[in-house]
Amino acid sequence: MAEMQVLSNMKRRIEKLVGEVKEVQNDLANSVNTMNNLQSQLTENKLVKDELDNLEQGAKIFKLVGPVLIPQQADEAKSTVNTRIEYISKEVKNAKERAQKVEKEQQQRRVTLLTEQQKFQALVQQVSAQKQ
Amino acid sequence: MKSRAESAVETPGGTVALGSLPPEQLDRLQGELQREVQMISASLSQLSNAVSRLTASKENAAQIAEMSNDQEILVPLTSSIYVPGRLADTKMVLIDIGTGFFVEKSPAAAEIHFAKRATLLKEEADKATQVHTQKRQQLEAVSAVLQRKTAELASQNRETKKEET
Repeated sequence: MAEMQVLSNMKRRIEKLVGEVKEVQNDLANSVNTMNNLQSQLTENKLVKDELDNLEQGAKIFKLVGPVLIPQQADEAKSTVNTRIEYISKEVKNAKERAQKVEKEQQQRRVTLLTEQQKFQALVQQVSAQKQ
Repeated sequence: MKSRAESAVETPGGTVALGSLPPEQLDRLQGELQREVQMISASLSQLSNAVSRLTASKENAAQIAEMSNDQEILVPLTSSIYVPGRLADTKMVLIDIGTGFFVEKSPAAAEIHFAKRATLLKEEADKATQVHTQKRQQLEAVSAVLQRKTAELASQNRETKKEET
């Protein structure tokens, strides 16, 4: 039963491929999550920057450090927020690139899986035709 | 809305007629849309929570503006224990502007601040609601076509079985 051997081999390969596709899918969901988190942090920081830029002269600014509010100079606060925005923007860019890479990989794996499945089905039909 | 026969869905690859897709892909599309709809629902409820918090803060700021120094108030220590206190300063309130920064503002300015933020979030919520409706319609279309295809396949299977016997 050479065909049977080939079929069961293929079946095992397909199962492995399915597992891989699922793994990549999880990976993709994770990177999308990270990206969304970073994006919302970025939005929040931009809102704070906007607020700080439009403050009245002499308004008191505090920063929450643990359980205490510490007074801060406006310039200091602004530069902190600017650095954060810069940093998070970079992170967002990295996360985007990563997500795109993972998505491409997912597409490729899916195509491989599909062709493998089609081959398998064709073979199954061939074998059952031979039997009759 | 388009009729069901020509219902189409936007995918990264462009517009696709649903009727031309095999059931497996429809199933995948259905799953994806379901996840998206769920995610948007979650953010919508977060947004509406935030809007109601901001509105409450705005009302509180308005109340403070009307009070005078030394006004007696009850300060909540927990949700069930209150101690009497006096307002020391009604000219300034401290507001949270995000990411751990706090700013002193007059109650009137605070009111404006909260109102501005609430409007901003409402706009976002409106946008999200639109996307939500759109995705839900797409999901319905996909589910309908998938159901039809499954039914067709099932009846085909029955017929071939009849022929065999």
